[in-house]
Amino acid sequence: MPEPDYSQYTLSDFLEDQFFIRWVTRADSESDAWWNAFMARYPEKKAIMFQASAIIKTYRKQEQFTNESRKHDVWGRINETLHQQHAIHTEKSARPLYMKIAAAVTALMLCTAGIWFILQTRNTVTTASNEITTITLPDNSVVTLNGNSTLRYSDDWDTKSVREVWLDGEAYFNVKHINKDTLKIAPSHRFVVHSNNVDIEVLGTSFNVRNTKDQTNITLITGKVKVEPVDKSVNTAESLIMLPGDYVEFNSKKLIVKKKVEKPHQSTTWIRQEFAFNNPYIKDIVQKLKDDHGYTVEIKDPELLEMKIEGEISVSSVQELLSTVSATLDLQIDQNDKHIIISRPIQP
Amino acid sequence: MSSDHIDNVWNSFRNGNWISYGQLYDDHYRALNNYGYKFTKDVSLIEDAIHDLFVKLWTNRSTLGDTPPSVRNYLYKALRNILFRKIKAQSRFSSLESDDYDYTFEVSCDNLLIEDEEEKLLRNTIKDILEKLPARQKEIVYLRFYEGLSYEEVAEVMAIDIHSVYKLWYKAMDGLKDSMHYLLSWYICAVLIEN
Repeated sequence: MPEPDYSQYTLSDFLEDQFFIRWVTRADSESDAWWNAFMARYPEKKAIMFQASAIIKTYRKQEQFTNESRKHDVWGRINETLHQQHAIHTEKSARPLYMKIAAAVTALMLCTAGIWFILQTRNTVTTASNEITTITLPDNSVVTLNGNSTLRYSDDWDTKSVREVWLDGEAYFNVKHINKDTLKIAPSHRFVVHSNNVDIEVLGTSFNVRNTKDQTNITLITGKVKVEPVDKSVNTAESLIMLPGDYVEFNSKKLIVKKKVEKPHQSTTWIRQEFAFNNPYIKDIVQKLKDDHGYTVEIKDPELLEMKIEGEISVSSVQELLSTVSATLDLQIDQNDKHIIISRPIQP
Repeated sequence: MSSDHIDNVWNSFRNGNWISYGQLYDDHYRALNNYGYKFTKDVSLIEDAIHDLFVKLWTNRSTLGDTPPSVRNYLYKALRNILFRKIKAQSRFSSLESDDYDYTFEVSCDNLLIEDEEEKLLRNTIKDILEKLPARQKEIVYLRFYEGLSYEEVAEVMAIDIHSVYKLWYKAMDGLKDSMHYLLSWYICAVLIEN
């Protein structure tokens, strides 16, 4: 590319030059080097270049409108529209018989437990670690299933029975609201998530459920849900109504944590495979890496698990997460594919 | 953002990867709002346009081509079209015979705090000159100076002929440079003394 003769450039020439504008708006080391060399060779051009860049830089100081607060809701609207379109689409084109047979055969092959053979309408969706999948239920409610999780539900939901799903792992539910009159609630208006130790009952709302061995955590984002411990034998097992922003933890017997969270959406950041933590302990981070992403984590010193990071972490990859942790707490973190080793740095 | 990252996101989105689609939304949501806000202060209208844009992207993903030279510019162009259609539909005074209706393009800096007196003077002068320009010229200045687009890219986003871009750009610059010379010599003295 023939280079223009910048030594003859006037103020307006600089303002019109693409290469110059790029340098002022998004300089990189290459253009920096080029223009610095140019100024060294033609110092008389410096003043006019300062003028041109002052104009551009001053212009660039302007207000930004990012509408950050609505980001999540607009995304929700987009999702909703797409799911509605999808529903209409599948209604129009009823599946041909061979596809139904194929689906049934696959289902049969996948289900090993005897009970699934008897109840052929049962659906089971299981995700591998690091896999996220979206499931549209028969009522058009949408479930986003995190890695290492299983969702079971029946295929034929009728108007007479409660909508029920069984969850093992973590999922975000966006439940279709069917009930129009809260005084007349038909069974099918209810939607129940069976977690290992609690039942979560809703009419229509969005919330995040995460269960591990003997614990269930629920974050409510919109609407209202009722949480009912399964084990009714314990007298502390009372049902609980959650409101938006509420976060609860249940162990096998009873409620152990109930609090308001400022950003309930944070509980769903895994949907976009992000990592978000608020004042986390190392053990929280390790747990997440193990459960959702299939990592094995080796801790050289158990004390490290109790170390805490003050503040908020929001990153989009494991690498970023690890380098944040290692930089903040001054730890040595080695990674070998899916195996992570956390230790204290070796003293020189 | 590396071009590899952009390529990956775009291609896997086209193949129906929901997470990449979310990534696309994440990567561009703020910039689209910022650009849209220059045309209208009606926030819900911008939201509607972004909603329509992303619904359309997903619905038509199988018919989309390879990664466009700039995904950002591609989305800007699409948003601009949708937004104009909406603004036009909303306006009771829109003339039916012309598609080339008068739009507005406003860049705001009124609430920014500039401490430095020299800079303030320069800021106000630029503002006074640019505010008087017609919307098209304002938009070109924005796309050039703020987004750093080339003439070709500006022509593509605004869907106008490249020669018109040149013409409009020079008109905008004429006003700017005339008033700048005098003012800048002072400003530059100040900068040079400071350094």
